[in-house]
Amino acid sequence: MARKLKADKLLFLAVVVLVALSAVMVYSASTGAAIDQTGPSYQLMFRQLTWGVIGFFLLAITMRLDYRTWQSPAVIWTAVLVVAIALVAVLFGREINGTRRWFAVGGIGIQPSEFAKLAAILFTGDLLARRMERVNDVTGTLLPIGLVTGLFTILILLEPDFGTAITLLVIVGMMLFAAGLDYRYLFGVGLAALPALYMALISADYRRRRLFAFLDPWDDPLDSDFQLIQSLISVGTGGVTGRGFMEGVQKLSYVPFPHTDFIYAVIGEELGLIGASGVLLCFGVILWRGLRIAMSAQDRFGAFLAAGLTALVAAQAFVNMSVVLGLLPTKGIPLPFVSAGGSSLLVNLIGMGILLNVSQHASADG
Amino acid sequence: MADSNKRREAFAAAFNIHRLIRDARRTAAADRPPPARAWRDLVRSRVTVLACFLACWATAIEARLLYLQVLAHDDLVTLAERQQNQTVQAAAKRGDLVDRNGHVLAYSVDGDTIYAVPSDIEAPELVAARVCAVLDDCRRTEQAEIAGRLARNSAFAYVKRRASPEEARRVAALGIDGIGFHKESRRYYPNRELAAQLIGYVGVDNVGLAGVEASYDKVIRGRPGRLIFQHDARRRVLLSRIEQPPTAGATVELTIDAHLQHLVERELRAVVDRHAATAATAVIMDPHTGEILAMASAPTFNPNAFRDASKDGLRNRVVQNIYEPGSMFKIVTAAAALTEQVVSLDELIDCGPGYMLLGKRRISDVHRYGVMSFEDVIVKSSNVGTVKVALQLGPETLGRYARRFGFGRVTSKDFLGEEPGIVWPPAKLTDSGLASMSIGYQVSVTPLQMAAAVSSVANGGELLTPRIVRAVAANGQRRETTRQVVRRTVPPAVAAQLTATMEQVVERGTLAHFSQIDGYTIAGKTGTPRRVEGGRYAGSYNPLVVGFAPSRNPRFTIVVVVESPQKGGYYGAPIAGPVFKQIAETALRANGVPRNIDPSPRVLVARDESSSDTAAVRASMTTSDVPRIIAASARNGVMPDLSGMSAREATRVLASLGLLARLSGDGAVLRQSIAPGQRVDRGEVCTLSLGRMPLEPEREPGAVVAERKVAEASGAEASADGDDAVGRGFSRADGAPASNDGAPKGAPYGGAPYRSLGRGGGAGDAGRDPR
Repeated sequence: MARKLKADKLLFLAVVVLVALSAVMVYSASTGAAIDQTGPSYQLMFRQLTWGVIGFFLLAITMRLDYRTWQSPAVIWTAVLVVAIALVAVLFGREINGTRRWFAVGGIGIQPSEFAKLAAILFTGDLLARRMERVNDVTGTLLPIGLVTGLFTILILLEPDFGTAITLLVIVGMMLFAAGLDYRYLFGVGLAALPALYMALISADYRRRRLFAFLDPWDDPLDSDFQLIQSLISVGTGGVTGRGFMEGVQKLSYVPFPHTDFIYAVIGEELGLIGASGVLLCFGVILWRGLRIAMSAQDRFGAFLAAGLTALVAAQAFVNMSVVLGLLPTKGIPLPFVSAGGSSLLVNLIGMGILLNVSQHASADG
Repeated sequence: MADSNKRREAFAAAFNIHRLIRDARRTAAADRPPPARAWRDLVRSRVTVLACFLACWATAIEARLLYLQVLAHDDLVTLAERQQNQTVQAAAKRGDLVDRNGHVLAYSVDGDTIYAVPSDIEAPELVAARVCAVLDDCRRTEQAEIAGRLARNSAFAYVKRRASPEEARRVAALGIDGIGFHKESRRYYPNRELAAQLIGYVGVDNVGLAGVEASYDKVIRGRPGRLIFQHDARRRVLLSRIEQPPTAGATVELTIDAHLQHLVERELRAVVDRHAATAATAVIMDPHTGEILAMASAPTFNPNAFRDASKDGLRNRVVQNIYEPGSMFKIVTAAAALTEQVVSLDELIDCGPGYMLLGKRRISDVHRYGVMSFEDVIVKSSNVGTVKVALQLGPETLGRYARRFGFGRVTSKDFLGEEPGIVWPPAKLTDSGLASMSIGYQVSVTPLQMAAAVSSVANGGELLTPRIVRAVAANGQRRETTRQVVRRTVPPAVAAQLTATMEQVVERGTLAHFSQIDGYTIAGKTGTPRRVEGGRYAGSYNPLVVGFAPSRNPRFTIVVVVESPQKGGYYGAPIAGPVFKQIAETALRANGVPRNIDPSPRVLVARDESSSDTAAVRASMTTSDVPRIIAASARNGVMPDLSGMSAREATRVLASLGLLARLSGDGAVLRQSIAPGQRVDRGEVCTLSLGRMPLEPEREPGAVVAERKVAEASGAEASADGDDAVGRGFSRADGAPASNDGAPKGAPYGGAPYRSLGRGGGAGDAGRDPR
């Protein structure tokens, strides 16, 4: 084991590309928001860059910190407790856009639900590493994981932040699956999800009809169907090569949250099929490298950690893209690394730092 | 003991089995926390499944991107443009309308249209008040309207369309954000009422609503430009650009001669006033080309203010009204009869005691004509004679000829709302119906159809499509319209016979003395149909005259219809005849059409008898010229003695005084309405009564009753000499010596193969008095 510790360069490169793109696209996408709030249009970009710098600093630290450090109960339970308290506390905070998701710490908004995902990954990873052989054991494994994840999920739903709650469940689910969860459980979950799937299909058909019916932007602009239609128009008008950077029109009050949840629509409009596919490719690289790290991890904790962290980024990215493209019902979740938002960027970069550290400790046959 | 041993053994066996199972389980359990290789294989297989699932998902996303950005791209771009762009049409400048000589009849002037971008205006009320203060004619209501438009959530609103340059400048000086300007054109008709119904008018959005403006709208309108405003979801304008600059419309050159048009309108106004008629209409057509030279109706309207026009004024009666043509239609009956050789012009027809019975129906003439030639039947306009011929023709043939002359069908695409008229199908015509149709009843036609039909007689038998547009000029290219022959109506020989007959109508028939013109032969035909009002015959008439001048090598076909005259008679000749004459005479003179019969001697006017110039002129004259030199001694304001002068001379003198001459009778001046030596002012009307010297009243027993009645009815003007004028039949208003009439000059008629030549207009015919 005396080989040189080597981090995964490709993975790192994909993350750098996405964060760089984020700064640029947040600048472009926020011009509409900037008009509304009469603030300078570079303000959001500047803030995003700041978060990026901080994030990469943290990434550099976590990348050098042996991931096994996180496995100690003290760290894990502290993380779980702090996050739980923060999640409760945030419910008593100030309401923004009808939700209570942010803490104002020194003028900076912190979103505890983002950190909840990291805490859940650490907790689940550790538990599964220790009790992998009893993964299908309800009392020994599933209950503790279910309790912690369920608590987080309920607290996040109370904010309310449906998108993040779902993402959290998906991440934990993927980790369980990687640990060998019996297919029967999956089948049960799938059966339970059938009605939801059916509803989604119905609404998709309704949406399609509405899209090609007469379009009046003033017909209930807060409606989620309206948001989705605007998103599809935005992506569609981009064509293959896009309208060009800063040339998008749909970001100007047509597409909702153009610099956060729907930034992928702006990318689609301004950078076209080439840009949108490029972003997808970056996440594909992260997915590929992340799962490869999971497969070749030195120990079980490393493997589950890598799977969870990969899911944190890739699954969330795919959900976001699917929402923007109308493949999934509209739920607000940010696109990792790209959407404007400090907490999300920090958590994801910390996660990538940990993942890169896991990659350095790959087993010989990995 | 053995038992107990056995039992123990059995127990032990059972126990062992139990233990074995437990051991096996333990072993399995001990195995399950698998060695590194085991857990790694599980994780690897599971992660591979996960990877496959996520790869599928990624593929789905990429497929969706392809669908949206490649396949559905165009549709979505359309949707995007629909919500992002607001297109405002910038109307093109309409093309000019000019007459055949280039006189402008309609043109467009660019006006400044002031518009606003409402989303850029924060205080609509305030802005409206400020703008309103500098606009002309902006009262409370207008201000409220502007404020309302500015308050609307839209990327574009008009503040004022077609403002004056002054207004635009003042509004611009206010420097209000969100107020813009662009050019929009406004239509002007510099000649006001001139050819108003023909030209039509244009609505606010630059769309022709009537007349040529409407029928040629596509050509005149040009192609509108497009202004595109791109805005965000809150309707704030991001940018505006001119997508397509407007292209000006084509200049349309009408066949109208503004001069003639003006003349015709003046005459129509006059005749309406003179006879208290409800309306009058006239059209001049070039019989060789089908070009309409003038087309007018009274009452009329001012297209610059078409909204104030009466419904009656907007009517282009030449194409939009139908009339029963009355005796005018005898031309068609005669054409059919002559072409089908049912009768010849010479054939004698017994017109009986002035009426005939057709079943229970009585058809009567205005006079008892007895036996006369078919030519005279037309010339005198005998109903009985015409009906007799028509009965020989039969409904089938007459109906065919009516259609062949273009009746019952729209003549041209140039006119909007042109009436096709009514021609009954032959199968439905009883003898009575046939009789009616032959003399112009039970058939309804437009004046334009009459003009086209008469033109076909004038040009030797070709029915032409009437044209109102001579050429269309756009982008430096001028495209002329072409002459279009619809069909042949009658063979040239029959056309010549009809022409000769119509000449006789003017020479000695119903139109004698009403439409004769010095120096020209004229062909004409009258009609005095009763008006149809609400499907019944009313008590009033629509006197009308059709004809062409000169009758040989004709230049103008003229149709005049007067509706319901209430004063001064009602017959076609005395009411419409003078109008016809006035129009024809001016048209001939103005166009320099050479005289086609011997002109009366020239008249020289000397301003001052004693001047040496006059003496020189006199000296230069040969006696054969027999000029009369008039001493225009009358200086301003004193009426000279005109007695004994020819009509021409007298007219000249009156003209030199600025007086208007009104003539009645023919020959030399016998009486003048303003006594010699009396003071006169320019513009006064002096009526001259003319007569042959010495005055010898030839009251012949057979004088055309109809004409006399009219003459009496129309008052002093005509009564003085009406009778003997009619009686003589052949003298001309020019007052030329009788000897001039005596011998027809060969030249004007030279080579014309007309059968009637020998009789046409010569004094030799005097011996062959119609009666």
